[in-house]
Amino acid sequence: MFKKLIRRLLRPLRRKRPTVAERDAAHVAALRKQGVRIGEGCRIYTSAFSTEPWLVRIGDRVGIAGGVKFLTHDGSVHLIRRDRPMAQKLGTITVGNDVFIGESAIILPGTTIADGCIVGPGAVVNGEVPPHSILYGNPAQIVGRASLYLARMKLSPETLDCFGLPERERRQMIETHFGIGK
Amino acid sequence: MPHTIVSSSADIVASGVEEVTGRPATRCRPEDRLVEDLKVDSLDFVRIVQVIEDLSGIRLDDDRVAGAKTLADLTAAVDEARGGAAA
Repeated sequence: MFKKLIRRLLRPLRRKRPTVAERDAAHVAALRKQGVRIGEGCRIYTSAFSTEPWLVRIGDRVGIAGGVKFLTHDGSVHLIRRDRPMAQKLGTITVGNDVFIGESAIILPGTTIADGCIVGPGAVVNGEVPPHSILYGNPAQIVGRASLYLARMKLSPETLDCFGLPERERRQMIETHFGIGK
Repeated sequence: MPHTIVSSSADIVASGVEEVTGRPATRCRPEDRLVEDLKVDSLDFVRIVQVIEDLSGIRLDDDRVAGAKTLADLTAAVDEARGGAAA
């Protein structure tokens, strides 16, 4: 009874847990504050924007997975500092609209990824990537069209409709799909 | 990319499968299922289509080809894109 009363009295002071969307928006806001130029509707799960985050520009509706690194400078310049003590070698990075960058990919300085591309996990991307490409590997190679990959994914029985479901329901659907029972 | 001389749509498809999966083109059958028999995932599929397009010089329509289940389906899509040429 006493505990219940205390809990009720403290309730207004307790912070409401932010939703995933609120957390995403807060992270994007924090990155913008660091200088990363980010469009609308992005979901970004990395903070690794190097020491010059203002050299990175990201378009609209871009998804960036955890562990992705944006490198805006070439650290090997250190080796020429005996001759040029203040040398720095830098490069801008531009990501277009409707791009997805997979887990732990590395985007090197001077890279431009055009609209509609999919970058596979772990890819090391350098240079100009044409629109709607899907690329993988180190160094990243274009293997085909992102549009075809997405069209195939839409039709695949391996693609489940469980995003946004309550966690218990989502897990049940996934376990059933993979034949994992209790 | 190997410079394979190909004539029929079925040969082109088989060459694409060989290039991506390593399964010899001579062992590819029209009834082979991409997922169940050849273990082709979505990324392999995109690569196979890319090889087919490179070999044949045609562009396959995403929506037409995305639902392909067998090599025969892929061959039919290639035939269609080539204007109904005989496989």
